[in-house]
Amino acid sequence: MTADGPNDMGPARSNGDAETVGAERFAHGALSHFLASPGAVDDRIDAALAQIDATRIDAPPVRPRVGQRVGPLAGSRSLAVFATAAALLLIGVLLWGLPEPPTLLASVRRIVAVAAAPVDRSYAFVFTDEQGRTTRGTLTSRGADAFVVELETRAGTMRLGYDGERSWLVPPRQRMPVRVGTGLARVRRALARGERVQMPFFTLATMLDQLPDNYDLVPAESRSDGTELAFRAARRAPADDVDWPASVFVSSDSDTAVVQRMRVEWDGPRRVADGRARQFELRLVGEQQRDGAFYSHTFHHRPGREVVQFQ
Amino acid sequence: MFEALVRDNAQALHIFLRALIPDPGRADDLFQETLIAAWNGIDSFDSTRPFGRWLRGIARNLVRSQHRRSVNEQVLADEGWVHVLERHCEAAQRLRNDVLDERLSRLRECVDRLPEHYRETLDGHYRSGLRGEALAARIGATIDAAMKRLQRARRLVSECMQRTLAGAEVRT
Repeated sequence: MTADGPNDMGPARSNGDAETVGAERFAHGALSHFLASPGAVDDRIDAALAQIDATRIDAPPVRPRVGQRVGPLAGSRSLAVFATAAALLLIGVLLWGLPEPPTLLASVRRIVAVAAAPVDRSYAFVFTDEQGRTTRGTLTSRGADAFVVELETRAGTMRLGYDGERSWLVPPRQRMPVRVGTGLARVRRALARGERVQMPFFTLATMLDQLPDNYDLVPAESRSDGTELAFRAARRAPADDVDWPASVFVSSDSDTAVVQRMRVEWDGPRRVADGRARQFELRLVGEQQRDGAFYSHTFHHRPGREVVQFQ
Repeated sequence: MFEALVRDNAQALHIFLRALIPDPGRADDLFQETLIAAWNGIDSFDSTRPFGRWLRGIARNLVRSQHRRSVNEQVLADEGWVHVLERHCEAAQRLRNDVLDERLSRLRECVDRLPEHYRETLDGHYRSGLRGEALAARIGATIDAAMKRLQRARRLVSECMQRTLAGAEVRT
């Protein structure tokens, strides 16, 4: 029995008093609208209008139906179309050489490419699980090839990573052995089991690479000085194999296309408050060139510590 | 033009769907779907009739179709009280947007005037999104008592709003 809906309307509904129930439902709707969702309506309108616009842009050109009458009017329309085309051509020629503003998709592709380049960047992150519990840490990655996650746990800092060949996990307690393997699945499982951090991706490049083909992209409000490009992405259909998030917000530097902030949500922000979904938020700390050894487990523990294979 | 009509009628549509659908996330999804369906069916809109009522009709049809897809969904689009809800939305819709905004601000006053324990319950539920056990823990009551308190708080707000609504209609 939830508190949010007809189930909790109890006595009024069972009495069949439509007037009272209707008035209470209106109060419920108004409270829900006014207290719980600032900006939700505008966001949804913008998303719907963007979808409508996308449909209109993608719509095939309207062609005359078979048997459509062709007469003097059709001739004059052809002339008008020709004149318009000629005018557009002239304008095009006059403006030749001026760069066109990139489309959002083109901008996102650039952001993906920059994130995948072999540059070392660190992001501070906060992971919020289904119960609203948060875990903080730092993610340092070199494109999509290598990463190190430093996770703050009660026992200390847990480190896990991938150097391009081997995945590894260094537990915070010295007496626990370092674990190494070849894939990321066991690191992921260990993380989910021990720290409840369930991640389908470890580098920004991996997540961003999903956006152009599998998400609907909508521009988000960016800083008015032109230094930021922000957008939202909504997953088109649930993935069968990987638990990709439902929505992604990205804020990037409009000059360098480097991601400054990113927030991924598995089922919308309200659900975190409801205790039913999770989100992951990252903020750029900086770029710092790392030695390649940084991505190996040996960099993160003292020599001689026991190393075992993932079980 | 379509966008202007949508923005003018959005608040009442959102309230309507939030009132109708138990899950706020799904209500918002349906809000968005309603706007897209309205655009696709704009040719069938009779411009001599209120746009807001037409929008809510589309929303209700969408709710019915969702209901058919999922028998477990608690959707009550055909219950008698929905007509009453529609009437309240219609009354709200007749107001100019600034008046409606003012009305919603008065809703806050209605909440502020509630005794502390009711206010805390409404805040916990609507602002923090707490339900059942979590809400009960927040307000230090049993689940049953929390549900009753929430119901009672909502009824008090409803009565306060109706008084406010009657007052504003005299003035407008």
